[in-house]
Amino acid sequence: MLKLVNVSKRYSGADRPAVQGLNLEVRPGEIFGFLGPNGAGKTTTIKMIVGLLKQDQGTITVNGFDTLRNPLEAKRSIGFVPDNPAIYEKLTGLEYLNFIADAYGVSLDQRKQRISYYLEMFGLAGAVGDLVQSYSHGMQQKLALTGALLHDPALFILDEPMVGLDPKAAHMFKELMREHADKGRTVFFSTHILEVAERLCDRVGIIHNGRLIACGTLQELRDSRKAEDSTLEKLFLELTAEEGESGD
Amino acid sequence: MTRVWSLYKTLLNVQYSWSAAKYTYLKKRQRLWEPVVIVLGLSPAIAMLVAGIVWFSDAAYRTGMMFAQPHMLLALAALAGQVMTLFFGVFYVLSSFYFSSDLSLLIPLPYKPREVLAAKLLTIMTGQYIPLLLAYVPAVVVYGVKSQAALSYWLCSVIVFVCLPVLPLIIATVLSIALMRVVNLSRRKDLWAVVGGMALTLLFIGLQFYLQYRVGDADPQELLAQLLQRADGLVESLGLYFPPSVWAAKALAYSSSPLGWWNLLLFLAVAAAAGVVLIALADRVFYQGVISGMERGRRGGAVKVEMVVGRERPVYWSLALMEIRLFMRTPGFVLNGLIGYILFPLLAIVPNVAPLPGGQDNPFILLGQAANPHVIMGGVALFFVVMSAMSMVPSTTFSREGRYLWFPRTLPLSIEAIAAGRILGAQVINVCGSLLSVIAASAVFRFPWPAVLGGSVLGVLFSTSFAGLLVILDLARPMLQWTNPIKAVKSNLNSLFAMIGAAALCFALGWGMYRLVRAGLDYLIALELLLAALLCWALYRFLVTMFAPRYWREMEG
Repeated sequence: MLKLVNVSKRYSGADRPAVQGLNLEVRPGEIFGFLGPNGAGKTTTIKMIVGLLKQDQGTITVNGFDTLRNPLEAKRSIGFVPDNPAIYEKLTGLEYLNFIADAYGVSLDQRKQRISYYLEMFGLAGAVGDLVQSYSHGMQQKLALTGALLHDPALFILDEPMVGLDPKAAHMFKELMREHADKGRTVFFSTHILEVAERLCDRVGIIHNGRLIACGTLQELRDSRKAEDSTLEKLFLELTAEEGESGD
Repeated sequence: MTRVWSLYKTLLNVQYSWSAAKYTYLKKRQRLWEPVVIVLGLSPAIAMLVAGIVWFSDAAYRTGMMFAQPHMLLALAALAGQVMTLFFGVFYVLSSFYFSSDLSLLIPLPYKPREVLAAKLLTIMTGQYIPLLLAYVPAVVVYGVKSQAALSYWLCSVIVFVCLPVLPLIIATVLSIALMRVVNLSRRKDLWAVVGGMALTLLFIGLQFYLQYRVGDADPQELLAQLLQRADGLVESLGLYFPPSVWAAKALAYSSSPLGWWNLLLFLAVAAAAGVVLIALADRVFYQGVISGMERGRRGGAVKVEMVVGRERPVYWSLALMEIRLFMRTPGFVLNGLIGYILFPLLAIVPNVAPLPGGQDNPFILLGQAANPHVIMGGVALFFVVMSAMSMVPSTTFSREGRYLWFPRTLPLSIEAIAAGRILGAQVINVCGSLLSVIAASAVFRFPWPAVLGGSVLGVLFSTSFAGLLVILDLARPMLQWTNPIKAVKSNLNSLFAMIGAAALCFALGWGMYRLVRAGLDYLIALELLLAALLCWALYRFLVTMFAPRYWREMEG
């Protein structure tokens, strides 16, 4: 579903690449957690996948489409929510959702059904006629999630999705991610909340200083470290500390 | 004072994007060609403007000398500077005080309202010195050199220059604070802010006309005799518009005598007194207006989503609708972009057809006088093109997105489709606004309707092509970092480039029209404009297919 081959990116003026030689494959039906400390290259990688940044080298394939050669086909397969989703404040929630439905060509029946479903789930039905500027941060986050799911994307990409969600919404959202993956779709998300990743993800990848330093199921990571009872948090701290020392 | 100074420096840095420019040009060493192109591009225009002002100042000085009142020039310069500051002040103050997103950061800081207001006002004032350099300095230099003024004149001219924008800006601030206190009581704050801002602007313009017509009612010969008899008659007649400009002129003209000192004192004292009133007002009502403006009312109550979900729309129309909604619901955009559509019909229907500020002839009169249906048709068509640039809708379409630009860039829409949607949105606004002016002017001047209709059709075609070029311009160099929506349109060089482009196009095509009329081939004017429109469209198609996809893909954010 998602394949990155030898992907690198260096911002102009930066002394080191933000991402270098990244190889990664995420399969259909999988929830993949993308972990890493601040500045590790998570957001840069996500931005390259969704088309907000262009990689310097390497290829990214989404649902079989190269993101540089067939960007529109690749984007049609993606639903994306950034870490701090800025949504047009001068539109109403419903105008925003209708626009997304038009852009993705979602039929009238499907949009009615899905908008109702997600708005009820997130408790936004009462606010959907108001301008987005009247929404709290959490409500905007929920609206962005609804918008990203309207076309039932094959690849659902989220950058720090739990930030701003209240506990009830966070719980529902985790259920929704599982439900989405169980339908054979793929969920790829970055997070700092390792407990969530540990409980929810089928596999995780850990990126540090732009390099993928570990990738696999929790059990595979434990086996590779010969640490049978380690939590994901402990493994993460050990791996990033070692990488930091070798990097220094 | 140190705190206000520190805040002022920070606001100035944000306003003019100094750190961002240093980062782009010096650290990242990107787009280094831009400052060179801007300087090279603007220098001739500024040089011509300064030369024109110097020429006008020289003529005004000589005319004044004929009546032994050469300091009429100083009064004119001070008046032009102050009226200009007052006129634009309302926009700047409203945008900086009420529509700026930095207030949510500033209010929690341990600053008094008066300190925030002072720092913001100083920032606006600093920006006003740039146009004042053009409006005031050439006249002062011409007068000083011609009259071989003493050192006291030059010292006084610096003091007057520094204080010139103070009073108009304070008046604009007080009116804006009063307006926002009323507006923020309403549920539809944005709408009333736009209506109020436009009403204040129209009030200033109306006042100008009123004063002008009041003078105009008197017997001209008697009035001239009276003005010439009094020592400062001409100068004081100009003071009808804005009395402090007369004090400034007299302070300069009589700088080495008690009369000059008295006028300087009067000029400074009134500005200082207004400042004290403003500061007293700031602590009482400034934050109240801002905070109530930040309260976002919600209707609440559940709605049946199945009942209200819209219908499927073609994606072009959906994009255009979004463009129109986002523009029309942002007061900062509307106040700056749509004022032209209001001003032109007003200038067209004012009785006796008022001259434009600066003594230029009203373009509608020129058209009416032409009485040639082909010329009228050409003028109407070019009017649509000019208004497309003046509205700033197409030339800032991506810049206005700012931090929201991540969203369209992740949608499965080609840049061609996005550009088409934005052109359509911009043109809906432009055609509606321009038609308002054209219909008003046609009714007043009895333009032949077939010419107006033909001109409007040509104008729609031509302005659509031109809007396409402006959309590409903004795609190539968007200004995405802004805290204040007005900055995205007013401080955006793309708006300026669009206006220069429209002026150049109109000049070239107007010259072509003139040559055709002279050659007795005026029936070819429509063909000339149609060919120009097609050329613009061909250029747009070339740019949107060859360059736009790369600009769109490589726009980092």
